[in-house]
Amino acid sequence: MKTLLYFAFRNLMRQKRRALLLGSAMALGTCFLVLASSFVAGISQTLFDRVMTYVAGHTSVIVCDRGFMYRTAMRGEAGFKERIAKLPHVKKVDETIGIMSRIVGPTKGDNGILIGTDMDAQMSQAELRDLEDNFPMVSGAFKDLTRTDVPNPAILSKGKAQYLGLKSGDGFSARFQDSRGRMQVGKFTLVGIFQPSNAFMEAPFFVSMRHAKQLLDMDSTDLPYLYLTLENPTVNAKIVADTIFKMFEPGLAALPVRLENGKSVVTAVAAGVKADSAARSRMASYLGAGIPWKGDVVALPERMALELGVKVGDTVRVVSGISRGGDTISDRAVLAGIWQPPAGAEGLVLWEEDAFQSSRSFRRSQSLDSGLAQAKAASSLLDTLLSPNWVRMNRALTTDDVRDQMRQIGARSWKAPVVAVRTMYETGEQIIKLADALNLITLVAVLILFLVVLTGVVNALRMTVRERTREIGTLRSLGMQASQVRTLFLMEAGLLSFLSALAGTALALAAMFGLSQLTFPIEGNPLSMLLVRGHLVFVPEVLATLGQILLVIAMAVVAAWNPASQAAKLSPANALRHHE
Amino acid sequence: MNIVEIRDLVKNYPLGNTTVHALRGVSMDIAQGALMSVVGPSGSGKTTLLNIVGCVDSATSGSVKVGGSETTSLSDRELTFLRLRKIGFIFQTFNLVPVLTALENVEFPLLLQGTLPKAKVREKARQLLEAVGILGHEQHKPAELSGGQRQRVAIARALVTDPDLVLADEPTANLDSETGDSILRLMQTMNQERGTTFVFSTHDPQVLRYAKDVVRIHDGQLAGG
Amino acid sequence: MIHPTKSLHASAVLVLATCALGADPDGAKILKALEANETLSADIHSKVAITENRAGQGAKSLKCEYFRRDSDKSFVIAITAPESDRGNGYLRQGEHFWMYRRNTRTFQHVNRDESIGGSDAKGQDFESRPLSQMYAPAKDAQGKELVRADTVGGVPCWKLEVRAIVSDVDYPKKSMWVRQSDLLLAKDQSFSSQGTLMRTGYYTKYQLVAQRQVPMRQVHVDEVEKGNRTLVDLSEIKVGKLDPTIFSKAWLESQSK
Repeated sequence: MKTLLYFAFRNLMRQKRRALLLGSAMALGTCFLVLASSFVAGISQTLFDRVMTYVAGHTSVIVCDRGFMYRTAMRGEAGFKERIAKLPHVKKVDETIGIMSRIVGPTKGDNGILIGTDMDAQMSQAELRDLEDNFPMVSGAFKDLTRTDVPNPAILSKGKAQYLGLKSGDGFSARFQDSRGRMQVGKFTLVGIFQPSNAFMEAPFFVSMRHAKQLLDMDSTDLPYLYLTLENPTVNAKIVADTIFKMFEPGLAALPVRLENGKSVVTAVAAGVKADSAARSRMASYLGAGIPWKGDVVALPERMALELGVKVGDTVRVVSGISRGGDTISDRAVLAGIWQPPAGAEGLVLWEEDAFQSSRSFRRSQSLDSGLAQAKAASSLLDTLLSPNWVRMNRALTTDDVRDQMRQIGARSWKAPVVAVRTMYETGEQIIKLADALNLITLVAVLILFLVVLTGVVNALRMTVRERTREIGTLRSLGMQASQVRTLFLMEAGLLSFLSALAGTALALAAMFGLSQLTFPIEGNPLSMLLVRGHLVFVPEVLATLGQILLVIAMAVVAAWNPASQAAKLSPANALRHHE
Repeated sequence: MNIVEIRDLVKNYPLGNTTVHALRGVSMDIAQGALMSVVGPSGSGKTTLLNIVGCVDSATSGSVKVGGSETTSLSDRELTFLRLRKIGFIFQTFNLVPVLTALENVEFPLLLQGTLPKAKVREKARQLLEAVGILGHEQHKPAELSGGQRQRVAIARALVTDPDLVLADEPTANLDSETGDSILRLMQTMNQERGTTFVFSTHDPQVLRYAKDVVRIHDGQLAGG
Repeated sequence: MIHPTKSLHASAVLVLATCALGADPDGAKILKALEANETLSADIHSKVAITENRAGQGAKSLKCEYFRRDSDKSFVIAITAPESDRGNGYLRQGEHFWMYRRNTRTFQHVNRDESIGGSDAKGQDFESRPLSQMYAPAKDAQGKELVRADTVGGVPCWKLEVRAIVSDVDYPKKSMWVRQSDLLLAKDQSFSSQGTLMRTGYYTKYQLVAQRQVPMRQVHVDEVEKGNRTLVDLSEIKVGKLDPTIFSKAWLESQSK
């Protein structure tokens, strides 16, 4: 074998020009293959690690209040963020706030998306750099969002600032709907202007996450949208999503309340009770004669009704908390009936679901479900009538599913907060398609390369076999087996392709180095989202490159198989008789 | 004892639309230690005879025994093995491997055999190069050697495996007469010193004086011994 | 693109108060008076012209036909002008609220808090609730209702300040100017939770329709985006039972042909 290999090597050297030509073609092909696949890997990395994490997260948690799509907060459930951050494969969990808003300058207004940028949290230098990469600043910097000397520091795009007639330091206002559905207007100070890399990036209107939450009337106990950055997202996105989906197993909802009737006050725990027609008839059987279970109604244990001094038909004030603005969140509910609580639920007030969930959603949330034990005790009696803490949407598996689901969420008046868990495969399909398309291009390149190598190797080898026919005869006479002759030619092809592939890889690495030194303008460049700080990104992967080298060798060997076999099949006598 | 026994050997091969009857029933024996010359004009079938004896070509009919083995019933693999172990070849056009040095050319059959360690192979090849008188040229490529030198290398290559039989097809045809003589003398010496059986074909009657036995072939048939 | 929905609905909230108050105004009574006839007992049909002035963009106007049946909370809006919007419309049937697009011939569900065509009207605005379930008179530190005499365009009014008693209303605070003579709304101002004035509305040309007073002209001024104002003019109001087939997708679709 060693002899054959040595011999093969010497043979390669014999036809230097031909070997060099074919070798160069293969080297160029390999170079292109390695370059292309590294580029695609680079783009994929950029797409998945930089773009996707902004656009949709590798995996995301979507929340909204009872089908109000723009009320993107689940009260009192911020704890999920910590729990999700501890899951395996989760690198980072970002709270995400993006709200349609109307930006109003001195003379005119324009639409924009108010985006909360987490300047307080663990934003690394690299992340900050990424952010400023995606939104290159013309004036100011993202850290200016943390300024305290001006009200609500904000950053706008150059186009938007120009249209609105704003320059750095100017004040402006913006109107938007807060997380509780109220129209709000905020005063902002323009502290920075960015030059968007493309028209789609015109819309963002950045404020610090802290301000955004204040403006939207959210606090640290509220759970907003979460965008997750994962290790190896293509593998883990679905796994993590399924895990989070399980974490959001719906349970029962309970809410501490204070009941008032004039001077009489009772503290209690409320649970929501459904009020559809089926529920209504069941409630009628529980409550006996009384007021129909419909509208803002409550049912109290007898002791409580006595303490409050109310009877069926009377109105009770239900205080469920204090809002951020300091207002008492209260409701006037009609006592529809007296109910007999089972053991463990003696302090439980049954409250019509809509009013209950609405109060639950408007309360400034401490521990929302602190009376859960009572609700659970009551569930032995009330079973399916009790209102859930949230509604979990099924995992949508395709982009179409997600679209349908969004429509469903928005069109129905859900009785509880809604949560959905998604992966980039449903939400960032465009980006994945782009990555797939690039992979396809690489595949086509491989096929073209294969053709080049195939025809090149086949032709060169046929020629070589013809030229060396007499030599083959000689070798056969000397006792070389037919199979050894075939091996010899395969080795020659393999060796040539191996050396070419090595050279091609070296060339590719050099080209990558060279190309990544170039700086491309980001302004007005639609492809700039694929660049990192204006540079192309190549990610040569050792395994992939080794694979590609092997692939080139394999292709050459496969191509050489037929001519090599022809050479092996020559009859020694005929071969000896051959005259060039 | 005969190293080769041939009985009723017929060889036909197609040439265009006709069939060439290269050998028409040849029977002969080659004794061990022979230095035999096969003489005949061009196209008389001597090369075909040598090829069949050397197991590089197959008989159309008849029997050919080499070293006791009936070669007509052997597979290509077995024939190749037989060539490797028992037969050496010397060609009219020398047929050295151009990419290998003289020394490597001689080593090559031994390396193919793969039975001796590399050092032994080298030693043996050197000895043979010395024996054929071109020591000092072992690192030269064939193209750097004269015709006579090349043929000496070829003889060394043929002998390196200690074959039972060396077949030389017109070994001097491409050499001037002086060099040809020296080559034949070399073969003669090897025959005497090593007892290697040599069969060489020639169309040159001058060459015959080196042969111990002469077989004449004409139109595919032996013309008496 | 502008939409008639929001303003139309606001107009429906405005009602005739049947009794005038004495010198000592009572905020709760004023609210009750405003609420008393929120719901029309009869079906109505009206032509509506909406003119929207956008700062620096001039005026855009839209004409539509408005059919309303409060007995089952249904309404239909069929746009008749301009040509680019003609045939588009909205349909509400109980819980369901659709937008119809002539070009695609599709009915699309309107999300509860989806902005309608970029306006500040939202799907949820059409889930009507009685005024008194949303607002109560605001009180000062002494617990006294914030009601005082004022004038709007020279007309004596009561200025009443109300605050939301539930949290899910567009504006947590409002000021309302109610004509002293007939307790009809003349003007209102809406404030954000921080107290910023966000919009002002003027209501004039009241006309009696099915025992309710309906303002035939409304002007809504955007106080955040100065210079934006919307005029809503009602005309040819007809009262009486409407053909039930009007409140259907098929009918709305047929209007686009």
